[in-house]
Amino acid sequence: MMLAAAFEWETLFFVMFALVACVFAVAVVFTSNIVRMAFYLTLSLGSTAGLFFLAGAEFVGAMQLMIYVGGTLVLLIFGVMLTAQARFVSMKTAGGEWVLAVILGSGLLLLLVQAAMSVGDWRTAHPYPRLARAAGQFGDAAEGLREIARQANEATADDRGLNAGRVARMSRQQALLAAQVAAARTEFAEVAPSAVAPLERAEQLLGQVGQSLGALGGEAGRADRLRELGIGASDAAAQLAAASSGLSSAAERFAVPVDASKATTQIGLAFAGPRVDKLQQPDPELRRGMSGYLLPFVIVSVHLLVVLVGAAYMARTKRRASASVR
Amino acid sequence: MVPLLAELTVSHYLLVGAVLFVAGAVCMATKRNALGVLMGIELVLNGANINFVAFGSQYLRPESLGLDGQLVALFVIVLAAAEAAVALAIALNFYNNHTTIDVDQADDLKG
Repeated sequence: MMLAAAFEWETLFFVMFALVACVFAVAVVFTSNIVRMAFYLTLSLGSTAGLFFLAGAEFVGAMQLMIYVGGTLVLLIFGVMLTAQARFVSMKTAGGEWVLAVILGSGLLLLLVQAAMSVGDWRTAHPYPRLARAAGQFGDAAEGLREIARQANEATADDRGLNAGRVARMSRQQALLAAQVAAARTEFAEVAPSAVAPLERAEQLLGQVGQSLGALGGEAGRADRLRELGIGASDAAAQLAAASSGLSSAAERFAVPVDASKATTQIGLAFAGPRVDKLQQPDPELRRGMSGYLLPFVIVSVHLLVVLVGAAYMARTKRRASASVR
Repeated sequence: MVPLLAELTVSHYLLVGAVLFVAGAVCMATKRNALGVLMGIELVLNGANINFVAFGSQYLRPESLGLDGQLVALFVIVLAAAEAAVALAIALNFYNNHTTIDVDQADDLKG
């Protein structure tokens, strides 16, 4: 259970699919057997479809499996079978060419990795999970502070004080919470501005609570210190509750609506003309470019048709040509 | 925390795309079998597709390309199918005329 909470499951699946895709792509390069290359390519492209599913592009993933793995690769494997005479199955590349290719390839890879890691916006994750988690965390923390305030008020009313162990436990709780609040204040300054003011106030109040707790440990002015602790803790609890609601409203703003997550209908409509995914586009210049994908769709379809007819024609004429030569 | 097991970002996808692209480019450059060169082209197109899908995903970044990324990826898949059909026709034609599939033998145009 602890282990399950420690992992980000999407990331685990991503690493799995990504490793399969990359390892077999590199295997395609380094094997010289054409039949094995075709098999490795199938695995690489299939696990790329898994990556598409993880990115929320389930329609593209399905098309990847159906057209790429089911169509294009079968076509390639046909080609392999039609030309697989013993001397063409395994064709070695010269050693000098390998050295050159590996040097150039690793240079290109370094360049691309550098480019992929260089933009900060690409390296930051979507804010929704962090915001939702922090909102829940501070909601729980507000509950904990209310409990501290209740205990302090009870102790004041009974005029008996708190025992040292309980004060120590409260101090630990307070220190942990203060650190969390301070971290959250800088982390969410941009994405959730409405939560910043309550978080700042809560940080100050938590500092006061810490002072009261420290003074309680030193036995000085017990009754008024306890009252101060109770008031400080309940004020801090109120601020944390406000911060929690600010964070959850910010999370709401970044949440992907459920109907927007089903992309298939939108893709179908975009192919037919209307774009329903960005109806709220305020910029009129950008809205003019949102006329859908009917024209490219038609162009690509006609292109595919012409290409297939042309391929069939090429495969037909060559036999007549070679027959006439003989 | 291990950075690879942190939350997913666009950069994760870009790295995978970069590896597939470079593998495809090296494959295109080194293979002597014409069908191996074709497989390299498929890998390159696939690496580009990963980038399109990553930039279009609304789960990786709040400001994404939206549907554009997914639709371009679909067009690339269809174009890859067309390209494979034509290239295969050329390769089979070449094989029938020269009885070899080695691209180094295709030097008829050399002066």
